[in-house]
Amino acid sequence: MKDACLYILKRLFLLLATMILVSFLTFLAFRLVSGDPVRTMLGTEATAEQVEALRQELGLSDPFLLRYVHWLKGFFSRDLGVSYSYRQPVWDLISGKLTLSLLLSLLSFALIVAISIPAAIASYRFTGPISGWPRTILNQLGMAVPPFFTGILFSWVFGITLRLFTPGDFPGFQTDALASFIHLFFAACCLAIPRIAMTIRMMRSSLISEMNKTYVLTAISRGNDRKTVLRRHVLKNALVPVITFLGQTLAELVGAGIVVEQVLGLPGLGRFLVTSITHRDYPVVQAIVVILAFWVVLSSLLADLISQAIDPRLRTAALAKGGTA
Amino acid sequence: MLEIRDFHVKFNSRSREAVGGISFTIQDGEILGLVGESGSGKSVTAMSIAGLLPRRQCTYSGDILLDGQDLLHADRSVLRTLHGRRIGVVFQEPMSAMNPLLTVGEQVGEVLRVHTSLSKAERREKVLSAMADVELPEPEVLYGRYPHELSGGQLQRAMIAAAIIIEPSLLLLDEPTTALDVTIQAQILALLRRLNREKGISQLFISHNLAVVRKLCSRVAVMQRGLLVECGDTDDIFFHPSHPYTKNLIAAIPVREHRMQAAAGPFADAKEAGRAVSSPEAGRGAAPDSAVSSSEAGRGAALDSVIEVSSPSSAAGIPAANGTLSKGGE
Repeated sequence: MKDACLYILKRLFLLLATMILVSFLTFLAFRLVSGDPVRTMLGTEATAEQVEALRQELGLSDPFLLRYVHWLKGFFSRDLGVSYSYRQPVWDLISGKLTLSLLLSLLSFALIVAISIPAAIASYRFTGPISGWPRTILNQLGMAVPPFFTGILFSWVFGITLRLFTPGDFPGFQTDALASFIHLFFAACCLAIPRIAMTIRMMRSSLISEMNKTYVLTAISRGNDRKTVLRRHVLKNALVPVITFLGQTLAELVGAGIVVEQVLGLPGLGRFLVTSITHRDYPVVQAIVVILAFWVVLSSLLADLISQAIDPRLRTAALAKGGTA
Repeated sequence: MLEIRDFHVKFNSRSREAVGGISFTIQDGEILGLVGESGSGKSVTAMSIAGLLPRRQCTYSGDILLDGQDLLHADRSVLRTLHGRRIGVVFQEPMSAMNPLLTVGEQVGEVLRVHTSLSKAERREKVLSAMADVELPEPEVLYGRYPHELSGGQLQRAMIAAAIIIEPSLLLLDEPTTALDVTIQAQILALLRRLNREKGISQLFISHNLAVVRKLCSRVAVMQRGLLVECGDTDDIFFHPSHPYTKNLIAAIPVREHRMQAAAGPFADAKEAGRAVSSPEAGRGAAPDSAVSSSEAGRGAALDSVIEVSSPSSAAGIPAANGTLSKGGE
């Protein structure tokens, strides 16, 4: 138990270190790319004095490292700075968008898990005469269709034709919770479809390879019926590699959401990130990038912890490494 | 108690029959050894008795009767009532035969969970006593351990404990000692003998190692290419083998006096083994005759040296060996 706590502490420390590194690299990147936020803010007709005054005000004339340390201090005291373009605290600007993006990711992740795992089991158990090629075609199709295309298709079918939601006009949860949810649901579907196809394929092949292992014969030879063999023995074993894959999926969903947010007109983080980069709105970009990095590292940490909870061999390996480090 | 009559199996993917019509019986309380090289059909036979034959992928005929009950054609639901309760199975690789995600205790007690209505505490009690019965050290500690935390020998003991926990009438052992090292192998054999003596559990012991079979079994059946080439009392077969293949198998057992020469054979590939057997010194040394004359110590050495019986798979090796062997043997 003590070892386990130590291990989790170590992973959390790594998480923190990764975020600090990512934030530093973003800071560095914006120093290296061209473009000046002050010029963007003041326009081409500003005088040199005005530019210099604003630079002083924003702290842009300080040395690079000092600026970074200043930002880091602010970050830990939950002050993400002020947006150059909007002149508003970054947190106030992004919190709503962040919630929406996270909701979109989590909803589509829930769809992926809830659909693909049972579907993979059903597809494994159903071995009828027509199960072969139609399944493969459906699966390939699901994987091949890009979310932006499904987005356009859904906008047309469910939005314009069936009028289930209004593409490009997201009402917001305060205004109309149900309409917002429907809008979000279709966006989540677009994101989830290719990943559901991938997860089904992976889970199915994992099930097949586990079913061929000797411990399945042992389980049968002890009098278990097929259902119990699957549920008690094979399922957990087959899930272990799939969980790692799902962890990666969860990590990339926020990034992949940008396109879908754009197509279906959701005011999420992705869209805001793109405009902030073009305006060289460093504080906003910095905050979003660090949050995305946090999301990625957190997803893989969660996936690791869940697979370790299932597989004692991974637990042993993790603790052995944790003990020496 | 177990009767196999004219049993055939042919896998759909192969042209040759895996088992081509074999018949033998296992008496109550007997340990029968089933010997043969890989591909001889011995494992298919064992799996069929265990009811683990992939029925859809093969055609089969004949009878496998356990106390008069047909196992070969029985419904899956009927087989399930026999699995674990009447028939226990132990596989070659204990590590892969155990579910890596369940504790050893859970797996040893699985038969109880399936076939009895005992409470969790009662099951635990029984599991601990079964684990003690197979001489596992500190059963309470090992109960909560996972398979990867145990040694191969400990795992195989746990597998045996799981298979005998409600004392089935027949224990099928598919090369249970092959993956273990020599000392552990000897301990497992002693354990199996004790279980047979104390609980009267009949056993079918499958091996490609004749030396091991001789140490354990009262009767031996020898299989080659899906056919039963010889079946009889262990001593009879050892001293008076009638089939050239059996002679060849016996010849491949290294004995103490000729361990140096013979040692090259078992570790080399089959072709080299064939040459070693057909060479005069090796032939003389390992011929059944010398096995007869060899003292207890000599035989013990032969049996303890748990080196694989390398059976010449090339048909050419057999007549060559036959020539030298029949001189020494008869």
